[in-house]
Amino acid sequence: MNPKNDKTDFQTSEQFSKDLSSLFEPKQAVSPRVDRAVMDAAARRLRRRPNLRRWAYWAASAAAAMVVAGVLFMDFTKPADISAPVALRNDIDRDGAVNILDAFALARKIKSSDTANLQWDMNGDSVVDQKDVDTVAMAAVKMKEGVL
Amino acid sequence: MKKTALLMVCVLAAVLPQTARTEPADMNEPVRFAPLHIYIDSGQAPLAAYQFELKTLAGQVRIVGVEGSEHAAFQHAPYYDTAALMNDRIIIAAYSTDAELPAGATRIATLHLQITGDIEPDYELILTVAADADGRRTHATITYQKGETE
Repeated sequence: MNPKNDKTDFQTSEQFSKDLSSLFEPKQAVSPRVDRAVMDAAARRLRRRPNLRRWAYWAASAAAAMVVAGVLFMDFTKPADISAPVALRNDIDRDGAVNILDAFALARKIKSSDTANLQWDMNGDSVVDQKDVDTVAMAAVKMKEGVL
Repeated sequence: MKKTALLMVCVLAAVLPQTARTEPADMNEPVRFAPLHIYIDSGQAPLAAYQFELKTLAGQVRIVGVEGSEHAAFQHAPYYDTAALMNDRIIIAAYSTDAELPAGATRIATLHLQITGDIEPDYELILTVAADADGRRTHATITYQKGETE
């Protein structure tokens, strides 16, 4: 092998050399004006996100206010909601558990009140009496399915 | 092969206890009936309401009846789930709006049990709640006493 063949002298035109040089020249720095415009656009875009969060915050607040208002202005003169979950309906003292104290509380209410409140109609027969107390008491002692 | 044998052992271990539980009692095993008296001691506080749970820890026991208290305020049969009568676990509760309420140690209920076999039954009592005349929870203790076999 001839070593002379390893060094090849490329003969190129002057124009080609210029073009090639310009291709690999370091790029020009971004002008401050363009840089500022890019930064402003980014800032505007980022500013939009807090607005979205604020909107979500107000929506959640409004929903919570509606729930609170619904509870506060609930009409307690209406009959008990028979379609409500049984455990919730029988929890007379609202302590989160149905036990004999709920039946006892209902019995004392019925005994001490002259007028029957349909809210205490636990069995849905439109009459408030001992049967409603029995309904709650039986719910308290009911064995859970699958336990036995 | 080993895997199959291991799998069969696991399946049998899971199924056998259930089967044993549902099997009818051996006709040759002795059967007796005995009461179980339940006492609640509310101390100085009058007892107006109670709820407890009874579980059988040992022995083959079936609850066949529930009777009220010796005290007039709870003389009627308490509330209980009749479905529990065929089993060895029951929740019992009662309340009274009477003016005269028991205080101190009072027999508040008696359970009538059918005991099969020679194993002496053992029970666990859990007092869920006890309350005074205003419906306020009050401290109380619950105990049982085995009655004489009938």
